[in-house]
Amino acid sequence: MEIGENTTENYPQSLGIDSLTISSPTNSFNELLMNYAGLETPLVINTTNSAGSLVVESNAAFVMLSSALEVWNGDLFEEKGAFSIGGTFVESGGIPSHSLVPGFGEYRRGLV
Amino acid sequence: MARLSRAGGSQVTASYLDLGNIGAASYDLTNSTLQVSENETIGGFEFPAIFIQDGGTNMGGNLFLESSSEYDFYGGNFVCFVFFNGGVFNQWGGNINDLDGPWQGQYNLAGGTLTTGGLGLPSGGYYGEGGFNSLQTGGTNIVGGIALGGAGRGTYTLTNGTLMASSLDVGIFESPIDVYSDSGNTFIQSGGYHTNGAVSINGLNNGYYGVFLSYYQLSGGTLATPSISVNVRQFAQSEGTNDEGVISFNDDAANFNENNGSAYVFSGGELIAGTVSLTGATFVHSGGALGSPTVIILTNGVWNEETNGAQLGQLQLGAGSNSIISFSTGSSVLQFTDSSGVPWATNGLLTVKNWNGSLYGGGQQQLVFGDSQTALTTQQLAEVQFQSPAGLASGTYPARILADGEVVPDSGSSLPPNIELLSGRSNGAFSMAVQGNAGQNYELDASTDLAHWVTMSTQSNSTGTVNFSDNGASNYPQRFYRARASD
Repeated sequence: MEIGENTTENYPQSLGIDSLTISSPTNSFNELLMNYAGLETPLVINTTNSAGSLVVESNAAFVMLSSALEVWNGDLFEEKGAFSIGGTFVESGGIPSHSLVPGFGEYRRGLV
Repeated sequence: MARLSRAGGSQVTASYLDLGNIGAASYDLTNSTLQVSENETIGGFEFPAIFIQDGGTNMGGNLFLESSSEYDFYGGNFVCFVFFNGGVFNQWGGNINDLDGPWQGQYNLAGGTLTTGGLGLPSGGYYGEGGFNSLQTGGTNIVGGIALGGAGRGTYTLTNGTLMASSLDVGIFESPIDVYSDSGNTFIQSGGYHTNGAVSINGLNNGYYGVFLSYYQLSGGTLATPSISVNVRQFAQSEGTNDEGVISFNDDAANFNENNGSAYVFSGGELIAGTVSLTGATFVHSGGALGSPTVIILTNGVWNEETNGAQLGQLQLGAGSNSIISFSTGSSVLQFTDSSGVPWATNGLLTVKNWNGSLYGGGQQQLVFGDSQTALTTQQLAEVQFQSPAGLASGTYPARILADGEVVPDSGSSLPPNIELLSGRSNGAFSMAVQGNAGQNYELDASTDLAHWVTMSTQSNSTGTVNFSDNGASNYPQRFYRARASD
C-alpha cells in the first residue's frame, strides 16, 4: 500500500486517522510506503487524542521516503495509545542504503 | 501547486515510541528527523530491537536502551538522555555530545567523536547490579572524567583511537547493603592513545568483605599522564608506552605513587616516568624499557629486579625498615645514578635480597650507584644491608661501596685477596688484578715450583683493586703467583 503525493495534495482529509495496524498473515509480508508524500501534510495518528495507535507487527514494514508522520499517543505523564514496532520501520530522505528485508536477524546495513 | 522536494528527509513526531515490544523490530533513521517528546524505549521485552541512525536527528526526551537492544549511530544529531538498561550503543561515526545514564550495558566507540562532560561507568543503577562496559576501537572520546566502578562493575577497553580525559578513577563500588563489583573494574589498553590528567586506581580493602580489585592493564598504545596513583590494586604494563608526565612541565606532578600493597608490574613496552614512588608497594620489573631519568623513592617499598638490569636515576629512601631491592636469578646489573645528593630518611633501612654477586664486585649481580665510592654518603651506606648474600653465611650484613660505585656486602672481616687475570703473555708481560680490602697493602709473590717464592711488588690497595704486572714472565716456562695482605 502506498501513500504518495497525489494523496497528500488531493485527499489530505484522509490522512487523519485514529489508529493504524500493519500486519501480515504467516509467510507473507505487507508494507505501507509513504512515497515522497512531503512534509506539509503529515499522516496523523490519533487526531482526537484518544487511545488510537500505530502498530507495525511482525512481517510488516512502514517505509517513509521524504514524508511526515505524527503519532500523538500520550502526554507528559501517560502513554495513552501505542506507537509500537514489532517489524520494520524506515524513516528516510530517500532510498535507504541498506537492504530492506523482513526479520530482525536479516536486517542490517548493506548494499542494494 | 507546490511540487514536493525529493531531496528532503522524512519527519516523525510522537509522544512515545516502543521498539520491539510486540516482535523483533528495527527502526532505520536516515537523514530524517525523529522527535519523541517523552520516551523512546528500545527492546527490553522478549524481542530484540535495533535502531540505526545514519544522519538526521533523533531528538527526544528519554531513550531507554533495554536488554537485547542495539543502537547503531553512524552520524547525524543525537539529542537524547540515554538510560542504559542492558542495551548496547555503537557509535561508528558522527559526533555525540554527552552520553548520559550508562547504568547497565555497553557503549562501543568505533568512529566519530564523543564529547561528554564525564562518564560514570556505571553512573547509577540498582545497587550496582549488572555493570557497564565501554569499548573503544577507534574514533575520539573527549571526556571530562571517567569513573569506573563508582556505582557497580565498570570496564573501559581501549584498543584504538584517541581517548582524552581529564581524569580516570578506577574504583570499587560499595553499596549501602553489600559490596558488588568484586572484580572487573578494569581499564584495559591494548592500543590507541590515551592522554589523561590524572589516573587513580583504587581498590578496597574491606575488613569484612575482603580485598576488591581494580586494575589498569597497559599492553599496547600510549598512556600519557602526569600522575598515576594506585591504592591497593595493580597497574600492569606488558607493552605500549607509559609516557608518564612531561617532566619539564611539572616535576612535582610527574609522580607515580603506589600505596597499600599495590603493584606496578612492568613486563614490556616503555615507561617514561619522572618519579616512581613506592610506598608500601611493589614495582616488578620483568621486561620493557625504562626511560631515564627516573627517580625511585622507596618508603617501605619493594623493587623486584627480574631482568638483566636497569639504568635508573637516583635512589631515595624514605622512613621505615621494609624497603627492599630484590634480585631474581641470572645476571643483573641494577644501576642507579649518584644518589649522594638526595636525602635518605635517617630511620630508613634498605635490604638487598637474593643477591648473588661477588664480594669483590663485578659479579653476575650488581647493585651500583654512580661510578665512584662517593655515590652514596656514609649515612646512606649505613642504611643498606644485605640479607643472606651468596658466598656468606646466612644472616644480614652491612654494605660497603667499591671504588666503581658497586655496593657489596661487608663480611666484617678482611677479604682474602683474589687474583684476577687481566692479560696473558702475548707481549711478554703478565698482568693481573688483586681484589681485596680498600686501604690494605697487598704483596704479590711469584714462584716457579710453588716451594720457593719471591716478592715481586707490594702496593697499597686504595680502591679495593690493585693491578700488578710481571714483565719478566716470558723468561720462565711456568710461574705461579700469590697475593698476601701485608702491613
